[in-house]
Amino acid sequence: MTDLFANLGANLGLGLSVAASPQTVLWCLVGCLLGTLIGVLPGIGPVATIAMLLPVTFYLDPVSAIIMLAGIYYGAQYGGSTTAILMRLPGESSSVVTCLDGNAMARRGRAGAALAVAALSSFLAGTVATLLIALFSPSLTALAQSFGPAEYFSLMLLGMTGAVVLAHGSVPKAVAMVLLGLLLGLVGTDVESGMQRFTFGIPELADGIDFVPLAMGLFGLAEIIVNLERGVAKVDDVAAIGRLRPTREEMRAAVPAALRGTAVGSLLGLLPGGGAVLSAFAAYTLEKRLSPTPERFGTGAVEGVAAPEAANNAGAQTSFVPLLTLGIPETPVMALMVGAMMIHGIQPGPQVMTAQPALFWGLIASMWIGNLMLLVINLPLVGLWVRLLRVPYHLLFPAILLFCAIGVYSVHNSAFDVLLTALFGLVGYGLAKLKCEPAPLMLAFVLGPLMEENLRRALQLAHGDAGVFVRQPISLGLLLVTLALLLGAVLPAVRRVRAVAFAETDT
Amino acid sequence: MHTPSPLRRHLRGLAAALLAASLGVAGGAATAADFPARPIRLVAPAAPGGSPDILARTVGQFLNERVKQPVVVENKPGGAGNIAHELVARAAPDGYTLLVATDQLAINDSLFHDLSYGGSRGFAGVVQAISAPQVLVVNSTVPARSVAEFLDLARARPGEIAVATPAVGTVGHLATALLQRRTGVRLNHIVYKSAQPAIAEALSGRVQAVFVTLAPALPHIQSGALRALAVSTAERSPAVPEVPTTAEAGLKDFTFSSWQGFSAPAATPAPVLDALNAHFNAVLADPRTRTALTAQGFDVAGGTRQAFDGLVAASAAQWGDVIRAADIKPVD
Repeated sequence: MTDLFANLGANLGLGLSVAASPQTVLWCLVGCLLGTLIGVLPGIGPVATIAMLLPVTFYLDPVSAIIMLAGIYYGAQYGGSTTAILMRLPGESSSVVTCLDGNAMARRGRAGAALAVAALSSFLAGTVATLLIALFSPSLTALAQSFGPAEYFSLMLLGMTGAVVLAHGSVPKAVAMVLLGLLLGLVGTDVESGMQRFTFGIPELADGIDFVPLAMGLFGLAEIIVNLERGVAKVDDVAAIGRLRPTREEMRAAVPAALRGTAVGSLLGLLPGGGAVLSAFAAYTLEKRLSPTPERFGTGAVEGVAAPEAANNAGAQTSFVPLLTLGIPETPVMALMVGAMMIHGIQPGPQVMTAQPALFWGLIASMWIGNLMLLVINLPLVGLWVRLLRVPYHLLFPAILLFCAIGVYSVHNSAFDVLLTALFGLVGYGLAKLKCEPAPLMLAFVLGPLMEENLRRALQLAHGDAGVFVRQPISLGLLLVTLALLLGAVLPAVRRVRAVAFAETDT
Repeated sequence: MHTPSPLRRHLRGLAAALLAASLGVAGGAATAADFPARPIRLVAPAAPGGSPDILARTVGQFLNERVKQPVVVENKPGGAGNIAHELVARAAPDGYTLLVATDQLAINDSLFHDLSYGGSRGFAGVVQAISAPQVLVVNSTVPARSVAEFLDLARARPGEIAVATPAVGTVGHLATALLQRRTGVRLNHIVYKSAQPAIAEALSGRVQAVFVTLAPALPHIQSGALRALAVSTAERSPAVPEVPTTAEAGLKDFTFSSWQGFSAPAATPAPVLDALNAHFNAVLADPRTRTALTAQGFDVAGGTRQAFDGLVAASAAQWGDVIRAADIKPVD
């Protein structure tokens, strides 16, 4: 154990000596600032921001470039949370969850508190996750590798079961949304056979529907249409900004939620190939399960902002472990980072930690510095962001639409994606009219394709033997948790009828 | 319709002038002497950071220095490269819009039924920029130290040895299909979305082998986690000189490499193609380009445009045979 901490000191020392040099701090600051400024434009999330700014880093030395990119990433991610909270515009899958309660808080005049909680939770999670990585990197890689297709399938199944919990309101409608999300996720080229499904001969659909147009349409555009319908009366509601800082009660609820979110996010972020997308959803689900008043979720519960924001940031941090040690990008953002590293002549792989310790530990130390800077940049700016809500709708809406179009276009340089966004905006409006929530749809859309791929791959590796899912201990454990979650959802209803019969299972 | 506003009339006039100007330039472009007189666009069938994008940016930077015109890299990822192919095939054949052509251009001829841009024949080659060997690697715990031992192992346990390859229609995927066809062994061929997750699965030992481009596997070969059995090129790779070629390892007619180069729309005038070929060859011969490209695991190529046309045609024929023989159904 003493060795562990001695190493920690030496490694973090090396990291800080790289990351805290005036030059790298400057690049990190520039990255965070650029990332925040561009990411906070409505409609432009981390993927679009990094895609736009990546070429800027080509002219720096590798360590500065990667550190600046990390800064852009954190900045854009926080900027994305800002638009999710203020305007219900998620820039990537994790901000979908922040939309739910963050935007509800903003509507109740607590936008400032929601933004501050998001920033503080992210910083807390970032600090803990940085320490975790510094302490356990090598063993974390081994844990990440123990996840194979069978384990992933079971994890996704668990996530999907949790999706229904995301919705407040009608369960049949939530199930319908999950199914619709699965269907949309089927579009594209089948990984196994190369056959195209539901692409209608449109080459832009060959890689499936992209997350960004779907999320922008269903959340952002639909929100604008709904607001237009409600008329101008709404302006006064939103303009009532209220106290910017979180109240004592809000902080008391947020801190434990942020800590739990950090734990969930740190674990899931480690899993290469799909863990990180789950972290925000999982943290939210957990909070809602643990809460004595789950009915508050979706109407502006501060835990519903703190937990997913913490999970998201912790996951973003720990997902650098599989990226750096195995070279596997987990999310589109990470894929861009791999590309950036390769451009700078760094091949992600197990040798990065030993061959380029300055880069590896510098990056880890810069994560923490990046988080600190985000806090420094953003807490004073909360008041400014919130004031965006005072912009009259006739100016704000056209601007949002414009930035959404730019943001969506810049991800793949594809005009087709812009049309798709418009289409999903109409779909989202229809769903809002039917009182169906888009969040379970988004989760199923993200998880469905991963689930299918891993199910088929697990069966293929096991030569068609479905027993593989219960023979692998991790997979079995996840399936049991899924079962418990399902029972937990069904039992209360049953219990009311046959309270005595189930008395034993409660103990 | 209302009468056009003065602004709109002005814009129309401007558009007409621009059109006339661009036509004038395009007409003059046929003389190689003043080519290029405008910015050159390199369309990469990949997202920023993808291998064709890295090639385009590296070469583009030095090309810019040489021709004193901006060289703009445009990313058009997706659709197995067809989105980028289509865009360039339909662009004005004036040498100002070029495609970063990859094996996918040749492979798609047979992988897709009906390509709206006419497949690889819709392009005229400018130059082959790089080639990269494919490599067959096994997890270090697999008891096979050579291709022969690997095949024996696969014969002893038919259908049980799992080989991971990147997406359907990539060179690694087709090479694995070809390997089974040539040697008659039956492998458990598992397809991943790209090279990285396939390699990760081989690292964990859940699959025994993986057939991919050398560059992403190289760090794991060097760390000893993966053991390279053979490289697919005619000559050994300088990056792993101890690894035999497929021919040395006893695999007949199993020599190929993946390549990337630059292509123009088919109707581009020959003098423009020649001028471009000369510029690109000069850039590829520059030691700075070589250093930058070698660091990415690329072998720098260069050569005449006729040689590149020949390579594209030969690859299209070779992979076409494999696709038909392996019974991979073309996509509509």
